[in-house]
Amino acid sequence: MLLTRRGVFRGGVLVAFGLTAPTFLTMTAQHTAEAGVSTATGRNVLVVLQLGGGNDGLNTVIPYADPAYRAARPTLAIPEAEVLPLSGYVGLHPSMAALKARFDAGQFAIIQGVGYPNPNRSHFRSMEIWQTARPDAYEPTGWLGRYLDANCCGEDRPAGAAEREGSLEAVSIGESLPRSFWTEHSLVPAISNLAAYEFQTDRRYPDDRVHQLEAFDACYAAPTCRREYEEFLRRVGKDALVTSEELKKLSRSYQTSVPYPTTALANNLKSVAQMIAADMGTRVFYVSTGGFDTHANQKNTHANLLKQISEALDAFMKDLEEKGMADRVVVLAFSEFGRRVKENGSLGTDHGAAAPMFLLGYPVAGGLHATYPSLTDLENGDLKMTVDFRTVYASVLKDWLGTAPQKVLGGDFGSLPLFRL
Amino acid sequence: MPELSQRTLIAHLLRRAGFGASQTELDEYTALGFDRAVDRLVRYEQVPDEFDPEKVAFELDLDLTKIEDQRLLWMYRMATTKRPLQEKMTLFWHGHFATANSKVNNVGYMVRQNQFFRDHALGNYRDILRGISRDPAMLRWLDSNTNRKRSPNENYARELMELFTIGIGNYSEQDVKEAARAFTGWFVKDDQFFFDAAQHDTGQKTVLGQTGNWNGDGIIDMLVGHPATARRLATKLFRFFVYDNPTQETVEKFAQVYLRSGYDVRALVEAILRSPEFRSERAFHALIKSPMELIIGTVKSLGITALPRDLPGVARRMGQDLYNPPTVKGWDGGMAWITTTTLLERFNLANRLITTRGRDGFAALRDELLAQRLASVEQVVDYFLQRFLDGDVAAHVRRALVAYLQVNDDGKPLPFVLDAHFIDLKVRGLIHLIMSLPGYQLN
Repeated sequence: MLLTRRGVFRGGVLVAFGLTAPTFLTMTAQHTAEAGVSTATGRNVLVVLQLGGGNDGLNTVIPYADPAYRAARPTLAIPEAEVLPLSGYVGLHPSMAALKARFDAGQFAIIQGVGYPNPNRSHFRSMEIWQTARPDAYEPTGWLGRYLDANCCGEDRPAGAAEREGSLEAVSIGESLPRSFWTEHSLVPAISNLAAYEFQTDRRYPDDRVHQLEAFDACYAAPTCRREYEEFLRRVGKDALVTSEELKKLSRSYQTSVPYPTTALANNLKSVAQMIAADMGTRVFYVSTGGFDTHANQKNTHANLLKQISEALDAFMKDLEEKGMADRVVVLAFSEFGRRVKENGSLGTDHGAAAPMFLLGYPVAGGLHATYPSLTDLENGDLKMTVDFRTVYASVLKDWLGTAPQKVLGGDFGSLPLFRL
Repeated sequence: MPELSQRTLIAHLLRRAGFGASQTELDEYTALGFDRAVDRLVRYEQVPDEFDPEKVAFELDLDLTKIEDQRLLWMYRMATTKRPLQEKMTLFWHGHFATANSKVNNVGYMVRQNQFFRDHALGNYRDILRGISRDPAMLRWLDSNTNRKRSPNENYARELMELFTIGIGNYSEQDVKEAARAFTGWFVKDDQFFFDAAQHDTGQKTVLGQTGNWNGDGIIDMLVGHPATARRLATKLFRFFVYDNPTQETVEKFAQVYLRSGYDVRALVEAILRSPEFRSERAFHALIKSPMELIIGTVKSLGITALPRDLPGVARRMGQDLYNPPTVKGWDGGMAWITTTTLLERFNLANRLITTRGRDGFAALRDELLAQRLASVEQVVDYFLQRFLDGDVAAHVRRALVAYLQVNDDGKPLPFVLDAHFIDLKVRGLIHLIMSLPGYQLN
């Protein structure tokens, strides 16, 4: 069965039909405050970084002191002298010097051995599990979508309250919307390029633009339930126009003296910094990068990927520091699985299971968390998890976003002390 | 669709069984009537294939060793083919047997696979499965090249069952392992399929409860006639052509067509197109246009013959990168096409196509408009709503568009005169607005 956003969305559509024409919302920090996000965590921002393809955790946070590591990786093991040691047992890949410095400054937390029961080795299914936080069953909504519903526009809101159209509560950087954001009520804009994120009109007649926008507004003002999907399209289209007009106003003021690397990831993180600086009330950003499916000739590919991440995140941090925002932003990084302990015959590694997650930021309790899985007590050749990823999600929801995690995650997974509170 | 005119029904048919239509094509197919229009689409061999890749490549100065130029070439083919259903099915198979050049990394292989889909667009599904299992791009894509007797690679066998035939829930992990053994030794050598007997496992395999010395074709034979394959393919094609969520009864009806015809995709597709479901009110504007349907349909309806060279990039930003589907599952389609970014991309392409002065299709559109002798802004709005949206909009949308035509760019009232200023400013703006409506994204 193919799941689409359709079934998920239906609830929202039905609610919308019961309304008079919803009004365009003006998104300002004040508005966000009025929406009830006024707790101590109200200005905290979470940036989720998805590392697609299955990052080789073993060559990222390297158990360099373990002889089993070298035995399993005859060609791919990083020489001990090159490892950037974090403890007497593990260290970072040599191309992560910038993050090593963040670790030393107490701003980088590594949660070791993260996974979920009965690990799935399909990219597609495993990513879905991480995005929905439901390893045991198909779940149409994403964990961040459920967070949004629970906090700003979910079931708790008063009957008849308007759908939040044009909300910038959460923003996905990229063309597609990750499953993490699929929700019953909230719409999340996907923005791949801030400069191009606008409704363009005929350049020959710039003065006609306002009339086109008026007409667009009027066409999109009222629900149209003539055709299946038409209401969905109306809501996303309206959202696109409102958010793009809003972003256009805000992005002009942004400047940075921080040199970002010229990678797509760095560019996306720069957009995030730009939007945080604009103070539009966005609580959650989502950024993706890929290429971690290193089945063959892994060594250089993986080193480059880690370097890109390390340097892009460091530039992002410097930008936040320059703007005095570093105390209210954390980055959470994950991949859908780690890789097989033993390298394969093509100088690469195959799909595995448990792997480290990362948290970066001033508010983070830097250091190593949880225990590194044994390299000899394996499950089908893979590392056994020592922490459920939902425990990490729960910690972030509770201690950073100020939300009861049980409601979002559908169970109590405990938490870890990942923040300096 | 009794309330719809013949022309609207034919437009519906050409959007689904093709990529929309130019006004001329719509005239031609409407003159044929629905039944003969379906004949012409389904029995496309009777229509000469006038598309000559080499000639087009020469005229457009394309470098066919480059994948991006191959994308543009294919889009030209979609836009100009006289056999729209053949091309639509070629795209269907590309999404079904989704193979990406990001891994295959061989333009020649990708193009050969594309031609295979075209050659078998409405072929027999057994032939299609046998062919794709030997296709160099597929062999590389799903690692058949490393599927050896001593160390079988399950990738192809798994996707064959999970995605190409019976679907998840109808086989066990053990079935995957055993089926993988049947495909051992199916390699690529010198850019051709090569059966390496030395690497083929000749032992007994038990797949779906049947034991024998199966090779890959034996497994395919087992899967192609499986009722779950019939239902999956019928469902997928029905959703591609008609609407989402068909009833079990409907699916079963078309699954039987597939089985009784001996796995004939032509019989299945023809039955779907001629079904009452296809002509039902529920099917009308019931699907979300894929980026290809949107782009090619728009280009055709505007009469644009010179496609902007960056259209493959535009399609990529809308979420459909030809020769690079995101995963082996292909494009999710439907609502997954639509995000704020991809929707703005759609609106902005319309704006660009309609406001590019000079070599565009607008002159013909202007002449067409003037020939209508329309007497009011309401008539202008209705004409274009009919032309681009089958008139299928709510009253408040029509009112908003009328109001737009009544105001000049300087904000003063604009009396209705179909002069050069009105046409250049307001008619272009109107068409951009119509193409930016929710309904225009529907197929």
